[in-house]
Amino acid sequence: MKNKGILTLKVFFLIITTDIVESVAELFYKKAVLSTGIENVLFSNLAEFAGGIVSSPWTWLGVMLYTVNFFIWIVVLVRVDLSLAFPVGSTTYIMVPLLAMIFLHEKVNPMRWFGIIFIIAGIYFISISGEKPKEALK
Amino acid sequence: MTLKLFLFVLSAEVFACWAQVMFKKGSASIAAESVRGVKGYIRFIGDVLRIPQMWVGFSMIGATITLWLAALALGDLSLVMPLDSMQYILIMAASYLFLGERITFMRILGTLSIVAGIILVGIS
Repeated sequence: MKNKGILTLKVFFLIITTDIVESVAELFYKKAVLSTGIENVLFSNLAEFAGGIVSSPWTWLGVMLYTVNFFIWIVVLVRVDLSLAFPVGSTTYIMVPLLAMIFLHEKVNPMRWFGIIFIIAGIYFISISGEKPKEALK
Repeated sequence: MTLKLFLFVLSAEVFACWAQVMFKKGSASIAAESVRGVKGYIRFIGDVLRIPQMWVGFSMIGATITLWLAALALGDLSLVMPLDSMQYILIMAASYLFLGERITFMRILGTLSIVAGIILVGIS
């Protein structure tokens, strides 16, 4: 049995890929929601809202990306523990502010910096959270 | 109203977690070494779609989406968005209880640090 508690570079990149694809898909969903022209979703216009979402090409592009993502995610799960893969997937939360800082020269406030540092530290702890090789042999 | 909203989001989180457990259980029958090369990947897609647990997972995802949409119609989601970080704790507990994964001290520390980070990023 291979040790599924170790985060290899390959698996790490696969998880990062799913995060990037998911961020793009969410952007598409946002576009789909905007294309409906409905600002407040209520029970009364829920059907209209749903209709608008389903007929938007952005929704289907998003669904396509989610499908691709699903298979990449399964490749990840075949290789490592769920309790390892899932938290590492939290890089989406730091990608958006970092990209906004680099490309849009937006200022990141101190609170957000703290959050980003906590997330990066957390991913580091998780990456070294596997059992020691000796224990893994049991 | 708020309690109702909270319960909708909570059950959405539980279904999302359940889906992940089913995907992980389903993936156990696939050997990591077999997923290699173009042929390997094509066979992999076919194999995945033939695993019953994957379909249970898909229906759980369907339930999650339905509950989120219902919650969306109920009220202001920004109030309950911090609950989303709870998913990380649920996944850790479920991995231990249903998948028998070893939750080491470092893994708990890492997960809690990520949850704290997400809350900090979220409220700023």
